[in-house]
Amino acid sequence: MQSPDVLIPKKTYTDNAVPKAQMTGTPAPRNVEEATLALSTKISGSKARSVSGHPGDPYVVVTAESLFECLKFLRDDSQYLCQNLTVIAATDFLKKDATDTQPASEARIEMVYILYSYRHRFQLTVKVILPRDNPTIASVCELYRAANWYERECFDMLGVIFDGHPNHKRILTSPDWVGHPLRRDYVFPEEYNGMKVPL
Amino acid sequence: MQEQTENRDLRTEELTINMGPQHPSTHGVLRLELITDGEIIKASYPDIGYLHRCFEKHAEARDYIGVVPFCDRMDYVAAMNMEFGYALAVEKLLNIEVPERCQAIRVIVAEMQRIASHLLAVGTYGLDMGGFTPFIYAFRDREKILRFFEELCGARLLYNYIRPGGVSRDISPGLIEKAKDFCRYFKPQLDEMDDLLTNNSIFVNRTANVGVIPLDSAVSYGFSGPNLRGSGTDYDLRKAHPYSGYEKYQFTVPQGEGLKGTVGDCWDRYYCRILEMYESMKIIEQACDQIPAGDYTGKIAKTPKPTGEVYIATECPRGALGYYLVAQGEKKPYRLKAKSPCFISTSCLDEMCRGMMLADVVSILGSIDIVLGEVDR
Repeated sequence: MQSPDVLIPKKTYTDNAVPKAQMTGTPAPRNVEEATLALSTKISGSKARSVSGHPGDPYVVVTAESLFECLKFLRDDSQYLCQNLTVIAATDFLKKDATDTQPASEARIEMVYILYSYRHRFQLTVKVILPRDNPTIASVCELYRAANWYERECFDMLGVIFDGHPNHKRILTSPDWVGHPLRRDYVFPEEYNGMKVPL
Repeated sequence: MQEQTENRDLRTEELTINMGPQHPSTHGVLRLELITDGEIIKASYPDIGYLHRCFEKHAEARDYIGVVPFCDRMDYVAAMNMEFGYALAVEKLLNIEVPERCQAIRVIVAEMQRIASHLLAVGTYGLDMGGFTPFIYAFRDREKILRFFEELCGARLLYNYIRPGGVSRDISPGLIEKAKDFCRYFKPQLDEMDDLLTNNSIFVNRTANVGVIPLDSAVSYGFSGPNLRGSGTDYDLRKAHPYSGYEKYQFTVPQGEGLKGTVGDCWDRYYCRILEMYESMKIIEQACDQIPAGDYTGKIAKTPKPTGEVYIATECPRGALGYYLVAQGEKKPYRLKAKSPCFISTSCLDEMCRGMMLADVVSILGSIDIVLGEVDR
């Protein structure tokens, strides 16, 4: 690990005004396309591709097997230094038939890792697509200490299994809770420990 | 019997102590399992979820405007800031810009709320450290802000005021004057806090060099807001990625400098909050002076149907609160994930408490300023 001085600038604002360069956005080499190119060349098997995501944020999609290596690269490479894991969010998608506006989609769980680089003021969204019936992915606790509780929350809410997590337990619901509430097909329990659940 | 007592060895095994969930110093319903060796903490295991309402599941069943009151109820002492980020996320997906007057109103209420929230944090922290007076002083001034909000939108704590597309009602010239009056009144009151807490030797002894979190560790844990800045950086979303016109206002970002002890200790985090209140007052005064005329709300459909995925974070009193919103062109959000800064601060408790004294746990808990409504969501 580099020294904290390299990772995060201690004094950025010499005067009250925000520097011009920061207001006009990130410098050219640190955009999502460049990150995608770097990931696809440096990490074999990452199959990184970028999605523009308009009107939302652009993001990079990588394979589940290469996720750990990708995040490690993004954290340590001097071009990115994404040493902050802002959030891990998972979304459950049920199978949908094609409509006029939307193409047909497979049932899946999309994991989103939002990384941030204090050094370059750069936010990067990394997405992984997992199968819905057995979502398993490598834990990134070794890379980011923030990941510990985020991954526990993901398991609790959506039932994603994290390989190598040091304390793989439920966190928000009680240990004897059944099911994962943020699954789209979650059935609300009628009773819990003999108590009737009001609906 | 006498002999037995005298020859008995002192017990040296570790002792497990339960703290909470009904404990006044946990600021809500947090349960801590403390493993102690004498008075030294060996390990601490936070147990959360007592206030879990599954906000994220509720959000999937309401339309976009209807989610706003649920955002309020996450961090119920800084409700304006909770709504702010959500409104920005929906607006980003709808690709609409709100009028400049609306942006200025949002900045005024967000900074007022920041002062109210920091006053609660500082006041209750004084209470935890055994001083009753700062609590009373802080709540007297917080009350004035709550009255201001009551006059603005009719509610004291949970406002439903900042909505996607604008704010629920306009701010009157009289209220702008009141906000400025408050800043004039509040500055000398805040100076009093220096005597009550900041330089109070009992308070300093309880907080300096306690619960030190070094900068690299704070970054790895994903700290944000005053907790991160207390460790010695001046990273602030309002400066780094300005939103809602924050780039127009002149203010500085205070950071922990280890004035009373080590950089990143409890005292630094406390003092960051005090200094931030001064900066918030500067912003309120500028925003009140510069507030442009015009519409207070933008044009937005009654039931907006955005598409796309976005992550938007705003600088809340307790750190960077972000919303990850997945929209699929329907009436309701497909997925709304709230990134809570308090959740992260709580996850770091074990590292901060280890090796400290039992009484320091209260000091550390107060200094990271968690609200359990936001930890559990």
